[in-house]
Amino acid sequence: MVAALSAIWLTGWFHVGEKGLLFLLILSLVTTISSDLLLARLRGKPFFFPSAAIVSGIIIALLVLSWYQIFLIGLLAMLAKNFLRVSERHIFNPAGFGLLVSGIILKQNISWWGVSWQQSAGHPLAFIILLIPFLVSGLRMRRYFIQLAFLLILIVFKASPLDPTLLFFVAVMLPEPMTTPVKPATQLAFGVTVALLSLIPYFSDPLLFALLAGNVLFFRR
Amino acid sequence: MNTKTILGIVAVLAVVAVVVFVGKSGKNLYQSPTQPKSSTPAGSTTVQTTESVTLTSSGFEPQSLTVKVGTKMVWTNQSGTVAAVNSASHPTHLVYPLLNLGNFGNGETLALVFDQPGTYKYHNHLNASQTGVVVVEK
Repeated sequence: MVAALSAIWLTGWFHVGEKGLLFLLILSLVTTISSDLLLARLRGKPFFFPSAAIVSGIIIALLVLSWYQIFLIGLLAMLAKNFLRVSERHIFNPAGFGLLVSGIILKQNISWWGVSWQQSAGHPLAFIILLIPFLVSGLRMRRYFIQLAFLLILIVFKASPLDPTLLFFVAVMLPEPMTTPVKPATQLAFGVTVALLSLIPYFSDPLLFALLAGNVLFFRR
Repeated sequence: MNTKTILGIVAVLAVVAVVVFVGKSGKNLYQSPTQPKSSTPAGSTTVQTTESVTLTSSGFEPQSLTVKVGTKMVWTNQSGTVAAVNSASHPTHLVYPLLNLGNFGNGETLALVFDQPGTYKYHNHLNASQTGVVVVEK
């Protein structure tokens, strides 16, 4: 997943052409990795390779453009991962939690800059690269029932299934393995629930709200 | 969580979604309860006045605008890059589909006539942190 996300970030970097984006990526990774290691140490955990923090760091760097927002999101994400837990399992998708809560605190919407420009007609190669995470989340992690259910519901409600932001969300954020169900029937229910919740337009970022609500509703110790 | 509970949750959510999007009888969240087709693209209805919104690198200016029914809104892209005007919510854009005006290059414009009162939220799909709202009054 790290390699796939890195490829998406690189295509976004080349597309936008701003050197400052590299600084934001480094800031995001330093924030998530260091805070994850530190917070885990506070919980008495031995050293581990922070692969989840790296994934969260790249996701955050792909979705946010301001440095202070990235810092806050990274910190909140790792706080949620380390302390919002029941029976050794974290409840929320860490990146999703950081993104939503920081948006509420700062009253600032998420940009989604790195995953919104790859319309299939104009940027076919970038669009294909955007789809690579499906190989990991769908086939390797076996969360394809969640993804299929979610996409089918949104198609019924006439959302575009080829929207890059939507595809990124479905490929990367929706099926986070630690916070989503394993059994096929429960996966289907989770996907349907998150899709329906995401259609409620009350929140400025309904995808994130729906994801976290789904995490709570389907949390299993 | 057993299967019945899961099915119950899904059923309740399905009812909520249907009420919000199909029934048109729930509380107004973003837009006029009238049918979206009642607002028409520029040039196909009587235009009373024209108001302008400029998109710069820092966002839509003005971010919030209150206009009268029949006003033609014109968005001008001066952000220096390709941008877009799309209805809330990101990224499904289902709240008010006529406001999905799509991409426009730097220096280009997009337009829409609002002929029904309501509150219309929109954003730049290519940078969804840039948002705006048009309040249309009678």
